[in-house]
Amino acid sequence: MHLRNTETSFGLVSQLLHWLIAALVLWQFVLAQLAGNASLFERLVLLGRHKSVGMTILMLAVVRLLWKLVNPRPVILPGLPRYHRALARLSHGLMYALIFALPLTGWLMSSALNTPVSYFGFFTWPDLVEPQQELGDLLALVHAYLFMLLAGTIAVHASAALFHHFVVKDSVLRGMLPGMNR
Amino acid sequence: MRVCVALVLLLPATVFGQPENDLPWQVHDDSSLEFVAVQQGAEFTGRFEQFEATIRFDPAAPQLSSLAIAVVTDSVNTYYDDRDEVLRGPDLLNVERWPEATFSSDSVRVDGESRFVAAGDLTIRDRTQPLALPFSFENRDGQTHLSGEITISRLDFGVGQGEWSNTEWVGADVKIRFRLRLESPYPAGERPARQDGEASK
Ligand code: HEM
Ligand code: HEM
Repeated sequence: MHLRNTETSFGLVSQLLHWLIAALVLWQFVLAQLAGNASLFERLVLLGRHKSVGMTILMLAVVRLLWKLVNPRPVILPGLPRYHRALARLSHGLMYALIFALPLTGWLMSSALNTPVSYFGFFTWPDLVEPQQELGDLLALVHAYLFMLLAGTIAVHASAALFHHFVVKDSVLRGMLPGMNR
Repeated sequence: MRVCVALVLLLPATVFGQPENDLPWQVHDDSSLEFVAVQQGAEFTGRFEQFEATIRFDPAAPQLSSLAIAVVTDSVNTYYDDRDEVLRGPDLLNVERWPEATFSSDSVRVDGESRFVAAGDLTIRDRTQPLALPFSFENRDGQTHLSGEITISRLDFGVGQGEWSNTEWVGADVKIRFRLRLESPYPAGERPARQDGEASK
């Protein structure tokens, strides 16, 4: 077991960050869905949690990106066809971008709607823009569309990983499981 | 003889508090009434766009003051329509039933340099509570400002029925901040007799 990545495999830190962020993204979706069908008060509570969890994802995304930059990048399984690898790289890049873009649009939206972002009640993140409802409403749409893009990408990404594991029976999925090498 | 006239003029003021012809200050349009509340653990600022302040106040004779402020609850503005709707609704301000919130005081005392405290009643919804409202009265750059802030608990006034009485997600304390720009109702230089009399006492 190794903490850092090598040329051929993910280290424990990358693996844990991957699954932690994956779980929190799923939780974000659940909170947002519940908020959509809740009473106004429950919506306030659920979105309050959603905002704190979302800012956690933003911080983890920063850590993850920095960690990626100071680590070797494990090559995507060399045996795969080129367009497969290109697709994998594209979807990974997109997901990296979106785990920044979603929290940032959420934070911007909250600032514009004059609903500042508390971090679980411990402190308040600074507002990024002055209150302006039109911008906030627009950002809520952008936030929702970006999530659809993320959800679609994750669906392809996760299906590909499962396909590799159960059909191709190679070590792609194992490579991302904590403590395992591919 | 002139002293006599002054005394006679003074009499009704001291006996009845406010003479009928004592004009209130004119309140300038750029006055503001803001509040700071806590939602989801974070502070946000809102304001009431419409309110009427009837202020009879002379810093030299604070004991003769009367302050009355009527706030149009429907004019609440937090720069977010969805939240404004909730605030107007039955569980919070219930603006349909209680279109006004009021503060009134007939008792002002000095509380330091340019500082005063108005003891009065604050009514929001159907609840009235005594309130000692501190304020400052200052002349700055040729303008007169009456301003201050005070923190109240919204639940003392029933602002937050049912699930909205929860204070983890909607803070109990609400800070109220007012800044009134006042203009004298009297032509420049002319002051009512009783105020001169009081001032020299
Ligand atoms: C990776 C992180 C995030 C994900 C995956 C995510 C996902 C979502 C989703 C799926 C929705 C529902 C959209 C809809 O169908 O209308 C939503 C709504 C919302 N999100 Fe996020 N979000 C994230 C981060 C954040 C952050 C950091 C904030 C604020 C600081 C935030 C604030 C909001 C708000 C206020 C709404 C409700 C928008 C509305 O009023 O329609 N989100 N989010
Ligand atoms: C059940 C869901 C998921 C499965 C099974 C899964 C599986 C995998 C696997 C096996 C890899 C390694 C690919 C390789 O060897 O090159 C990987 C990488 C990656 N996954 Fe996931 N994943 C899932 C969910 C997610 C989610 C929700 C996100 C983002 C929000 C995500 C973002 C990424 C990224 C960015 C990489 C590239 C890591 C890097 O090269 O630094 N994954 N995933």
